[in-house]
Amino acid sequence: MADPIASLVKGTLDLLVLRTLELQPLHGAAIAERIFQTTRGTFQIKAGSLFPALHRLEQDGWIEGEWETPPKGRRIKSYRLTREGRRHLSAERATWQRVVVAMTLVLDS
Amino acid sequence: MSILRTLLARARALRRSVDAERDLDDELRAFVEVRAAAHERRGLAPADAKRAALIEVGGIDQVKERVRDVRIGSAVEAAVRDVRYGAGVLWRSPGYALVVIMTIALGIGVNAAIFSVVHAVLWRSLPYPEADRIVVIEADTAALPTAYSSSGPVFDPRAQSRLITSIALAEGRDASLMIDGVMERVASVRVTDDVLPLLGAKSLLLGRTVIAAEDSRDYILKGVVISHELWLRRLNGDPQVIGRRLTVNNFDVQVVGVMPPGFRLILPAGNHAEESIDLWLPRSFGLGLLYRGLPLIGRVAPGATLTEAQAELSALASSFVASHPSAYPGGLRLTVRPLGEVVTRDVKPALMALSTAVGFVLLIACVNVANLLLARAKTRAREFAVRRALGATRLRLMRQLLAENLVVAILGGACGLLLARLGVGLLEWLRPVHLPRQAEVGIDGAVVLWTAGLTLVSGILFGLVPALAFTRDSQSLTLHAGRAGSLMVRGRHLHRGLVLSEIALSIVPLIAAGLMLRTFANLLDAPIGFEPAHVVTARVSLNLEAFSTVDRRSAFYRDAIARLRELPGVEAASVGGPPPLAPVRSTLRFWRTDDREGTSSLGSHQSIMPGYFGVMGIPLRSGRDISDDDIVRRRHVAIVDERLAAQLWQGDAIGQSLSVEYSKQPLEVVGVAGYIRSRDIRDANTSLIYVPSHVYEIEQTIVVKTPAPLSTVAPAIKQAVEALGPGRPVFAIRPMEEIVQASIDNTRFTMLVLSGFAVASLVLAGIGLYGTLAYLTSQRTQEFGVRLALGATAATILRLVFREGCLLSGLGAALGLAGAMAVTRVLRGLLYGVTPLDGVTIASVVVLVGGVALVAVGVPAWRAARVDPVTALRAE
Repeated sequence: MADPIASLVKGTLDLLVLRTLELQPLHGAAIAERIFQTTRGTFQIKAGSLFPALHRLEQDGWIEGEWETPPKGRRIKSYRLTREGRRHLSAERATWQRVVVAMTLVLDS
Repeated sequence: MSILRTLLARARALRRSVDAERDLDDELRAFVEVRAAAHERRGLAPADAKRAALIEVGGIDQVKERVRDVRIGSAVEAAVRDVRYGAGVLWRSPGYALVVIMTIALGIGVNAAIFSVVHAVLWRSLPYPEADRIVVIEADTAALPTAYSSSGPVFDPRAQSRLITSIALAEGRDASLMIDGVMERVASVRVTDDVLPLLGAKSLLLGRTVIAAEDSRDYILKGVVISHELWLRRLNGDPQVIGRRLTVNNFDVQVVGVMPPGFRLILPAGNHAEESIDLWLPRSFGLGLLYRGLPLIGRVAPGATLTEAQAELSALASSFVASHPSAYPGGLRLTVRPLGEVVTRDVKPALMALSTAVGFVLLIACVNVANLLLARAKTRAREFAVRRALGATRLRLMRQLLAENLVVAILGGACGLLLARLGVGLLEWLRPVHLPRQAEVGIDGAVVLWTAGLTLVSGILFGLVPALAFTRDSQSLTLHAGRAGSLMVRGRHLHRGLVLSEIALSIVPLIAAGLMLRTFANLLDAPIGFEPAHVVTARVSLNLEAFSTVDRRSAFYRDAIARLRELPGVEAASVGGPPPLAPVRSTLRFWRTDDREGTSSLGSHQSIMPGYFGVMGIPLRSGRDISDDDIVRRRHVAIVDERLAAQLWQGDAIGQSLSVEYSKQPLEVVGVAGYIRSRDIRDANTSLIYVPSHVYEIEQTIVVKTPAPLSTVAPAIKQAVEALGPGRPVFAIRPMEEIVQASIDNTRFTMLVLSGFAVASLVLAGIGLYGTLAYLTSQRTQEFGVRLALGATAATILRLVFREGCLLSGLGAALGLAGAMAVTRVLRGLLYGVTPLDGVTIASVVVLVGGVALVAVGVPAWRAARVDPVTALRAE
């Protein structure tokens, strides 16, 4: 699959990122990795999509980035879900489920 | 504390955005490293792993670019969305939008108008090269106990001064100009050779500047420089104009130069010069004028400071006094000040007062709008509650409210700018007498910029209140919000606070205007000492070739007076000049001839013909009037006013001998006249002596006492005098009352403008008070219904609402009075016969504001009392 994200509904990537961060705060590469694993390799998110999305979500206030400096090595920015982000995610999740049900109804009919 | 947290978050975000680039770099590099490490774990060599990671990223710069787009894009997009939403909200409620926009327009408009004046008059530097080095040198005439006399040694500031490179003298006057037989009065100034070079007018459009040695001889005028405007208007811009002959003040002169277009002469009021001069006449330097109160102008040498120049001049003056102890027994004080400062000295207090007043108008307008927005935002509480529940952040809602209000503010500011244009036109029409640089006042880039800034600040100011109030803790903003609840209570407190401040704010301009009104009334009522009613003045300019001797001129005036007395309706006629309270008056020093070292008095003088006192209604306390015999026999006599008589001779002045600085021969005092205020209505300390016209001759003024209207008197006077023969044009025929009025035009101007602002603030405050109370009362309709149903009477409700209104206005008034006491000090220099803490003014303002408050409170209270309980309870 070339890049399923590009052909998917706008907002899917946001939903993927928010859901991933719901479990624990992660940095950019780890988010991509986690999505890759969870979707069993269906979604391989490129930096060119991931970072703009992260920054957009941060600007909207859904997620919050924080710099961490490990004892040794380079500082790294990890993101966590905010209170508003959590609320937003649950709203989006409900919407998504309705869409899935509706799409399934259409495609299976 | 949520506000604090939001602010901190904002501050963090700001700091972050500053080094956002570096962060982004780090973030991406970390990503590449993590990916490379992952590849390494899968068995790739370090270099290959890194390369694979980079390929995976697909160009660091492209990624960065896309992130940047997100950042910028979302900010711009949000702003556009907010503004569009705000405009939509306004569009849907045009009535509300109109009220708000007009209120802001008024607040911004008056500020822009006054700013345009303050900017042009006080702040912009003078239109001369290196204008900050041009200074004014003034002698402290009041501190000179004995006047400069032409015989003794005099300190010349030009002597030895190294830091003030050129010192020049300019003296304004109007002049009569005749070209091709058509006479007109034009503004002229007599200047020493270096005035124009000093002001930077080095090269003229045509010809050269006037030079005293070449263009005049023994007081005979020979050459003049004309203005560009006069050159176009009267001489058709003739390029061969140099050498052309004109008649100026009855002298045959030739044009030696034409000034560059638009040149303006900006000098202290003491120089009596108009800003737009038509004729530049030569003059030689005369020190006497400096010591009689005419300021000199000079230029501080490059590299020297004003303080150094002042120190040098003071040192030179004191060493002169030390070597000539008898010349200045009381010491000699000369001050050096920047020209720009001296020019605006007289108008600065008034302009500062007006600027303060408009500030208050704007504050009141902002409070009014905040109140309106608050009331409106409340009706939108449900909308906000829903949006917050759907996850809109507080910041998001605040930003949107602010954007909405900024749209309102910008529209208001634009209308305000239009209003300011009208205001500047109005200002021109009101025409204060001596507002320096008034021609430069206008709406320019600086004014627009300032207005834009003010608009933004006030938009944030009045927009912040509702924004903060209505986006607070989401929990209390329940979805059924629309009436009662913590929101309403808080809103009511805010409303009350705003109403209170509005009343307090309106008190200050009202008191200021009241004080100016009292001042103006006091000036009109002041004991000026003469009767200007029914007196008409007219000036005559005699041809000095036809009337070459004092005797001929005296004879002419005698004939003229005789003819004027025969005119129908004329009760009395005489000649004397310059008339009291006319702008140009010179200052002289008088002393007892028998006591040269003793007391001397500073004053003014007037040359008169017999009968002058009768026309002007000035009482003769003792002695006699000037007689025709005095003039024919050229007696050196004088009439002094009672103030001078008391000062020099303890009142017993008749027969005494008076010395005056211009006359070597002492004058015999033959009469004592009542004291009149000749220089300024506010000034009751300047004495006046009257001398027959042969002793000292100034351009004379005809004075006629007649009850007939000016429209019939003016042509009759002109005809009667001019019919006596050629070379005696009569001009400037004005009622004496007009001259008196004109002398207090500046006060009238300040009073009128200040009153306008005060009325505007009162109306705004009244509307705000009424609107808010009506709103608050209507919010409580249900409560009143319950009360009425439970047995409360209409009177109880009335009292309830009334008490609240009165409490608010009373508290506001008290606060306002406290503020006024602090602020009206600014006015001190402008007041006359009234102190800033004037009881009458304060009481009247309190009554006025109380009356407005009573109406504003009464109407909603009355309405509340008439509520039908059933309707009220059903209203929900």
